[in-house]
This record gives sequence, structure tokens and C-alpha cells, in this order.
Amino acid sequence: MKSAHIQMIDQYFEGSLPRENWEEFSNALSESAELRREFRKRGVLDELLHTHALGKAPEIPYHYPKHYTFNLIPWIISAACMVACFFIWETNQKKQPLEKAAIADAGTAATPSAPIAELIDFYDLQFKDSIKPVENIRFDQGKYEIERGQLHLRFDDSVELLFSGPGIFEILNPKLVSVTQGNVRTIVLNDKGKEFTILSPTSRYIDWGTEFSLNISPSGEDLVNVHEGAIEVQCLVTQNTSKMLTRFSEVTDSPKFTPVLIDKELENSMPGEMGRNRNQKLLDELAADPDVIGLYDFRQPRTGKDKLVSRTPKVWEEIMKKLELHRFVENLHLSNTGASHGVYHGTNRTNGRWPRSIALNLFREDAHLSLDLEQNYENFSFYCWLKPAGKLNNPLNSLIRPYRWEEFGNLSIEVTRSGKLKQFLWGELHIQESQPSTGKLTKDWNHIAYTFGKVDEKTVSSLYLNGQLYNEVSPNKTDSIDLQNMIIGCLYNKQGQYCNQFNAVLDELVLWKKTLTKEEIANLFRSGLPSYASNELTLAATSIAP
Amino acid sequence: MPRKAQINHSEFLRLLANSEQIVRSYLRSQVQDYHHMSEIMQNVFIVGWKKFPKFSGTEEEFTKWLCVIGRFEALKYRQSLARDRLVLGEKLINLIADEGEQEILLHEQWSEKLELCMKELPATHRDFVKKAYSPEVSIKDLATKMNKTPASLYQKLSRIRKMLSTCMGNLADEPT
Repeated sequence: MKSAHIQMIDQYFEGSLPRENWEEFSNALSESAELRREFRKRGVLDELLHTHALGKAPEIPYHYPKHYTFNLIPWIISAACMVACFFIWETNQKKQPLEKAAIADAGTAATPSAPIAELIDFYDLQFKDSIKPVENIRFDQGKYEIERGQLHLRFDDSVELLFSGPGIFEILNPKLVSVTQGNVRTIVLNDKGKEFTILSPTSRYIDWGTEFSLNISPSGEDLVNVHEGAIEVQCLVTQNTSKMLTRFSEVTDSPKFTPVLIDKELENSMPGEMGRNRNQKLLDELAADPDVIGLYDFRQPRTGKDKLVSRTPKVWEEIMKKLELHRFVENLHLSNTGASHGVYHGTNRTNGRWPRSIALNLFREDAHLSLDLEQNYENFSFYCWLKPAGKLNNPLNSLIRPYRWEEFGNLSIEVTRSGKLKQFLWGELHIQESQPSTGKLTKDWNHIAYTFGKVDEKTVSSLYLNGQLYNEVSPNKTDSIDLQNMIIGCLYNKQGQYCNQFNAVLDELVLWKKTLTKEEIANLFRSGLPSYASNELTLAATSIAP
Repeated sequence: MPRKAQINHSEFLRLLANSEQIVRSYLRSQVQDYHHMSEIMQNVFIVGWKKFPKFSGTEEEFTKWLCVIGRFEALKYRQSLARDRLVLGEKLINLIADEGEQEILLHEQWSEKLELCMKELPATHRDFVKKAYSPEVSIKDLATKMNKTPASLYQKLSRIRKMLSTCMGNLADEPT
């Protein structure tokens, strides 16, 4: 069974299965008896959970007689197995080194339901001798050898462990992980996670509620850097030797009794970084895509100002030489000349939806980004990520439109005060009535996409929110999109004033000269979804160090 | 009410009380929208009550009999949605229902397992599930209250369901 199909089952019962996935879902169910059984089981589970939520345990009928035949043979076999297991266990107990014997006392036993560690994210991950999809691996007691890639696990809703390979780690219990090789970042989220311990071949690291990076090589010395709070380092060889390390500890404070060196520069994988890597891979692909005309990630320009001014938006041409370098937003597409570089006004750069990524904060009333397109496009698409930065201040808040609203092809996308999306095409008054509201922007990151072009000989202008079709209209007279002089983030009226500010943070903008399909939009949304960032535990994480 | 009818009535209610959960569980995979389940179940009770005088069988057979009634009620409901493209095909639904009949007696065990597995969930997850499945609160409302996106809550629910499903799978089925 594919995990995608399991996800579709969930979406089916939630009533959120995207229209375009129904056919695949239906076919998969028709073809697989195993999937149908899982489907029914999930149906039963859904029903039982609804009953549970009503405050009563599902009633278990008492009336079915159970016809067990009493057969001695299984009992004898079971008894024999128990005796054998007892002897094996006793023998192993005697052989176990001190450290492992302590595990039994220290750990809480794994529950039958949840694995010891929950998989949060991974990137480019390859386990040695395993072809199983990572999503299907149960992270219980045992040894895991990683050939490459990054893995993010959570223990007992209280500790984040981010592991980068190559390396080997062994989960011993919910509070103890042994690492023989690899780079680790540990974050304790709440009191329950205190005393989470990592064992290296030579040392024991007890986390007292903190965040720290640790690099372990099989035979060399360990490198450690405490980012926050305090950890206790103990030597595995010499008893009664330990030292507390904090973020203030200097290299000279490195313990002498065990081979551990403090490295103040050490910064291992951070939460969200795997998502960022995944997204960066997507952006790299888009940068080389011949159908992409503009790709903007809002980082500081990497090209010199001379090159940037050669493709400045028209409205800034007169003063382009006076513009500071930071005002430019570079079009990162490798070869296409379909769109200019951008210039912003009244905004600043801020944190994007990934760690160490950048977005544009449209915080001022006249905040906007200017871009030019080379021509009108019969087929056109764009997407961006944005997060409202507070209240939407106007009845209509302008996301994207041309400087002049004057001819067929002019497109405007606006958001109402309550967060509903609207599309407007110049001269196409009828489309305003045919836009049902099917959702609205959330306070978190939103993926907004737009497509224009012919579908089955009919011109269609479509708006998408978070990977799903939001509304779709058929213009009568518009045969191409004219955004040759484009303003993003507010409206420039006939009196020469900037108004209808969109009070939001804009992250990532991509423009195409083709009409993206629903599937492509859904994939772009999924690839860029900052799933980790919206995780409540992580957002709630605060320092609890002593 | 004549005495015979009274006995029939109380007997019907007793059997119904014992079967309702199983019938609902059986029908859930045939009815996509949970909110329509109550209406369908109401029809099942009415039809069941009307036909009850003709029923003669064991308690176990009563549950199966009620499931068959439910299956036809679910089918009728599905036909009322036939103009909407977003329903599973009749052939597929019949296949799911046919196969599901073989599993009716397992529902009792699944219920028991779920109870055990719910206890193994962290308290925060249990509480969240209770809120998310509460009939009075939609996921959207819950997301607003928790200052989260609906998508993130759906993801969380999905993870919890996966944990429960895995847990239930790990507890071996008893012989039936």
C-alpha cells in the first residue's frame, strides 16, 4: 500500500480529498483488496473516534458467544517458549555491560501503540540495507545505520533529535540514544524531556533542558556546542567525573577527563532545515525550467548592481542608479529574459518560512514590489507564499495588479478584509458574480497560485489557495495576460497614490509562461509546505534550562 | 400497546442497543460524509422496526440483518448524490460492502483494541482527538481557537490515526 493512498483515505473521511485525486483513489481501491480492507478499518476507526469524542466509550456488545476450543498444544508450546525466553533473558542480563543494564531501570517501556520516536521529517535519507520507505519505518528500540541524509525524530513529545549521516545510532529507550557516529542536534521541549541522554563511545551527555549540537566520530574526540541551557558531560570510563557545559563555556572549558572538545562554531541541522533543503531543490529545478520567466526568493542580490540595473522595472528607470543594492530583488532564473529584476519600496527583508530563508515584509502603507514582464502571455501562471502580518486593513487588499488598470488582459488579485480571494480581469465584469468563496487565508503561511490559458478550447482563469482550486472563471474577451508593469503588495491609483496595502509577508514568487495544471499546483504546494514550522510543539518550545 | 408488541419493542431496543455501534462502523466506509450517518441510521432503525416482526434469528444474525438494511439505506443515500461526481462508483461500494460483511464480527475486537490503544496515547493527543471529533466543533473552528492552520491539524490527526491503526494492527486478532 502506498502512503499516498493511505493519505487519500484520511482525506476521504475528512471530506477533503481533492477533486483531481478521486479517480486515482477509486482505481486504487478497485484494484487492491488490501487497500479496501485498510479503507474499511479506517472507516471503523473514524466511527469509533466520533463515538469516543461524544464522551462515551464505544459500546462493546456482550451478546456474541465466543466459541473457543480448548486445545492443550498451544498452551504447552507457549509455556515452553516462556521458559526458554526466561533462560535467554537471564543469560543476557549477566552478559550485559553496566550501561545497558542501567537502561532497563532508566527507561519507560515502549508502548504497543506508538513507536518510541515519531518521525517528523527527513531529507535525502538512505538507510544501509533498507529499501523500505522511510515513512514506513517504526523507530523503536534498535540500531539504525544511515548512509546519507538527514532525519528528524521526536521522543515522547518532549525531545527533538536531528541526526545527519553518515552515521549509526541506536534507540535504547525513550530517554537514551547511543550514537557511534554522526552529527546530532538535540532540543528538549518541555520538562518531560529533561535528562534525555546521548551516549557516545566515550562519553555520556545528559540534557538538562537545552539545545546543543554534537558531532561524534567513531574513534576521535567528540565536538560539542551548547546553544542554550546546560548539559552534563560524564566520562564512561572514569567513574564520578562530570562537568556541566553551558553556552558560555569556552574551548578552554573542555573536559579533561574525557575526549570532548567544545566547538563554538558547531551548528548542526536545525528544525525546518530539511524542508528548506527540499524546497531549495525545487527552486534549483525551477531556475533551469525553460517555462519559468521569473523566480524570486527575496534574498540579498548575488549579482552586481550593474547587471541588476540593466533589467530594472520601467517605473524605477529614472533613478535606478541611485537605488541601493538591497532594494533589488533578483530574478534567479538562469537564462530566461521574460521578467525583470524587482525593486521594492517601503518594505524590508525578514525571516521566511524556513530557517535562514528570507521573505519580504510589506509593512508600510505604500509597501510594494515592482516587476516588469517582457510581453503579454496567452498562457500564464504564478504562485507565491504569503502570511498576513496582522489585520488586513482595507476592504480589498491588493496582491498583484498592473500599475495602470486600463485594458483587456489586466489582471488583479485582491483579498477581502475577511481573507477571501478575488480575481478581476479588466472589462470582464461578469466574473465578479461567478466567484464563490470556498475558504480564506489563514494566519499561517498560505500558498496562492493563479493560472490562465486554454483548457479544452476554453479560456480559463483560475485561482488556487493552498494547493486546491479556489475559483475558476471564463473571461469573454481576454485572450492574454498583460502584467507588463506589475505592482505587488498595493495599488497605484489614478491620482498617483499608493493604497490598498496588503499587510503581509511575501515569500517566494515564481512566474511561468505556461498554464500549470491542478496536479502541478498541488505538487508545488506540497513541496513547499513548511509542515514542520506549523507544528505546535516546536512553536511552543521555550527554554526550560535550569 | 398490546403486550406482544411491547415485548417486541423492548426486545428490538435491546438488540438495537447492542448492534448500533457495529452497524455504524460497518456503514462508515460506505457513507463519505459523517454528518449524513445519523440520518441514514435513523432510516435503518425505522425500516428495521417495521420489518422486525418478520425477523427470526439469533442476536448475531440480527446485527448482520441490520447491516444489510443499512447497506441499502446507504445505497439510497448514495443515489441521491449521484449527480455529484464525487462519489465512489456503485460497483466499488458494493465490493467494499460485500467484503465488509465478512468483517462484521471483527468490529467488536477493533473497538476493544481502540480502547487499549487510546490509553497508550499521550494525554495531549487523546484530548486533541476528542476535540477534533467532537460534533460541535469543526476543524476550522478548532484551528482558529488553537491559532493553527486547519492543514496542520489535519496532519496531526493523520499522524495520530496512523499511530492508532498501527497499534491496533499490533494487537493480534482473537479467534472469532
